Amino acid sequence: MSDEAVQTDAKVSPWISRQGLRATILGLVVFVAAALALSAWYRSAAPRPPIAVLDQKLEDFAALEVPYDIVFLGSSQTFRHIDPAVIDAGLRQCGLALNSYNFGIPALRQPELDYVAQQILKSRKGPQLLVLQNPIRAETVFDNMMSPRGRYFRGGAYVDEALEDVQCYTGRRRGQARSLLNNLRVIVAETFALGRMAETFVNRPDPQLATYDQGFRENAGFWPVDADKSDHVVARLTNTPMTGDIIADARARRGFAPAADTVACRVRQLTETLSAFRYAGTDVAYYVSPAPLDVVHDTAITRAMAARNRDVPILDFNTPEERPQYFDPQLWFDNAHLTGEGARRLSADVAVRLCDVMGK
Amino acid sequence: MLFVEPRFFVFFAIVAALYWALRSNLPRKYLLLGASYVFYAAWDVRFLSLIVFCTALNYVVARYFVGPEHKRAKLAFWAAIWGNLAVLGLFKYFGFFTDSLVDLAAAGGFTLSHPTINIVLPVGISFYTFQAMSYVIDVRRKHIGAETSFTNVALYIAFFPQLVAGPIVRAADFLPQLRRARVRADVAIQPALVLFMLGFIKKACISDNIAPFVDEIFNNPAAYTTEAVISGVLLYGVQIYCDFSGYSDMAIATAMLLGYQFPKNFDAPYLSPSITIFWRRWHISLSSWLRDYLYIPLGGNRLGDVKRDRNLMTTMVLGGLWHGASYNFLIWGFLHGAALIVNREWASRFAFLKGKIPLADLWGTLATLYWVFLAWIFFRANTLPEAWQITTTYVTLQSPGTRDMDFAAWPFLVAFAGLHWLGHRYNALERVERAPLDAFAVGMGLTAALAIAFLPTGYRPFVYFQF
Repeated sequence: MSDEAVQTDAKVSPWISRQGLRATILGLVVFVAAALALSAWYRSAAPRPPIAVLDQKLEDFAALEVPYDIVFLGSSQTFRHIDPAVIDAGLRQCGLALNSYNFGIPALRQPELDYVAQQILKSRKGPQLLVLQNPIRAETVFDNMMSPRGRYFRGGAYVDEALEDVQCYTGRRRGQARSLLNNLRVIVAETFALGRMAETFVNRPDPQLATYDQGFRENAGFWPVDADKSDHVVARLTNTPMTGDIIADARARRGFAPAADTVACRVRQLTETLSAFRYAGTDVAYYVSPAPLDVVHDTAITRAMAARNRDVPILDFNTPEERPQYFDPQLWFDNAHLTGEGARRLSADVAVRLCDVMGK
Repeated sequence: MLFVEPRFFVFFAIVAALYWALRSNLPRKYLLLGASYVFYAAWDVRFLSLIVFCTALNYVVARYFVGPEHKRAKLAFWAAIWGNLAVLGLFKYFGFFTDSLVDLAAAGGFTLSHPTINIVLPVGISFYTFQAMSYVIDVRRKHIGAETSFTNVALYIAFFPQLVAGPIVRAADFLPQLRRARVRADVAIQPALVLFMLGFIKKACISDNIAPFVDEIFNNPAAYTTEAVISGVLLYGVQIYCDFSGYSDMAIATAMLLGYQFPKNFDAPYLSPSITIFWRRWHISLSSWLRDYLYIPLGGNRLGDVKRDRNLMTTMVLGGLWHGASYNFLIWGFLHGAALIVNREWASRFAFLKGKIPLADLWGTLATLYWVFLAWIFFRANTLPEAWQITTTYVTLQSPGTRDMDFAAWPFLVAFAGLHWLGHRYNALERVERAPLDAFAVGMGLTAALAIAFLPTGYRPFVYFQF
């Protein structure tokens, strides 16, 4: 060992002087305050970014002169599965002359669901009956969260909701941990206005809007997935195909069962959303779409929902034993969405179930 | 791991805290060496062995053969130089030469197949091989003694602030700093923070924000109007300056925070009144390396005008090829070589005009900028035909395209030029560094918040990482 090994930092000084510490704290306080102010300014100056399907449906909904009697609210499994024309025809057969609307939004998650629910309630065109579907679990993929839509629902007043959504994540713990980490990253980015001035003054953000066939605007919010020729929709045929194994697992009830605490959390969220509608005088029902990938998962939540909300009708179609007709690969476009024919059959069955619920 | 990424800040905070917590020099150097290898492994762990090989080769040759005047010193010296060049050649130029050979054979009517081997370019290889070579050369020239400590040589080559994109530090400047423990109280924290912030803003807030517009123009020049193409060229000049000088600023500041001094790498190059002065201010560590280890050994300006011009051209063309194996870089080097020769000729033939032309510096600066930006076209263009297309527009002010650039380039360029001049003219950095501590803290807090807001989401690698 050379003699340098014993050379030391001779001038021993405290880690940081009092002045230095004060300046560091001052700098950090100014930094945080300025970042928060910038973020607040940006969110007020550039409110919600465009969201495909939602914007058009809100616009159509606002233009209504006569409110719809029944509104189906949920994710793409509502958007692609519930055909209001078939529902209305089915209801007429049991003597109910009602009109329904499909408010399904692709990739709808709980904070966005609450937003949509508020818009419907604010419109004062609330339906007689709201049929709610469990939205998708909290996002796990960072890049998706960093889209304008993702960032909007992870900043400002939505921070609490985003974190609660993670808390109520009914998937595997590893996915929940990843979702938490990535949500926190995006929340920090949004809180500190990361890139917002660049977006305002230099590079306007690409809203990353997935384009959808606009047929739903002429069909009370419904458009079957196999009629939509948008690239990303067609790509699902090869990216996420329905397979015999998925159907076999669903029939045998093999799959992931969520932990009790996350189920309870999710049910509490859903109950709160339903309560908001009930408070406004709307009847509510809980709808579970056929979903071979999530039979075990959905059953756990449905049972808990039924136990907690005994007076809320449950329209459960994700039961291979009672409704085996939906566990046929021929009826599925991909592993999550029924074909147009599947949607027609399901809508007819939903109408029959609604006749029961509405006492006819 | 980029200097502008959050993980670098975490990495550096841990390294700096541990470094200053250690009292002795040797453990500190072990820590820095380990951290440097971790930093490099974050890019590609496979190529760590290449750095270790380079270090071992140059350490052993300098320590046991060249330094002590071994009877085979000359042979060992050239073995080390060719060893370094072989590493560089294999990883950087293999594909270029084989492709050129195949093309040449095809032109002559022969068919050769392209080799199937695909060699990945290790990040920063041009920088650390040049540093390694300068060490052996300096030992050979007796400018420095052979280093006895392997750790010192390893750290000199791999020290993470300069490892992947310079500045190219000289052994004579850096090795003495490693021999004594750095003193925390001597660290100029305010200047280091200002320099880092400046580099961060240049890279992340300016370079990365204009890069998409530059990419659009250079990817499809024929589609854009004359104004858009020229804006794209000028914006690229700003982009590469901010990108590279920003990286250098952050590298120098990072080293400063650990108590080490690196040489200045940029000094307002776009304000240079001649191309000769430009090359004293742009990538100073490379241009001085080329001067000391290539131009002067070739004879420099000692052998008459013709050989001086030949040496200049050789140095600049090889300097161009240092950036990468392509004809574009070769032409870029040629254009700079030609400009330097013309500049020398002008200076000697028209010396009598000195002081007689009004605003001579301004005209000189504008002429230099025109040529430097023209040369950037070849540096940036994806292909030679596209480079010609852009050059034609740049020179003739004619473009067949009709598309405009979706960016207010001219106000930006004017503002940038103004700030660049003001900052240089009034030494803005020193003024900020001398500000009262509380005002400095408030200013840094506000600047940091604004910088983050102007940071585009998604990181772009530094342009010079590919070299």
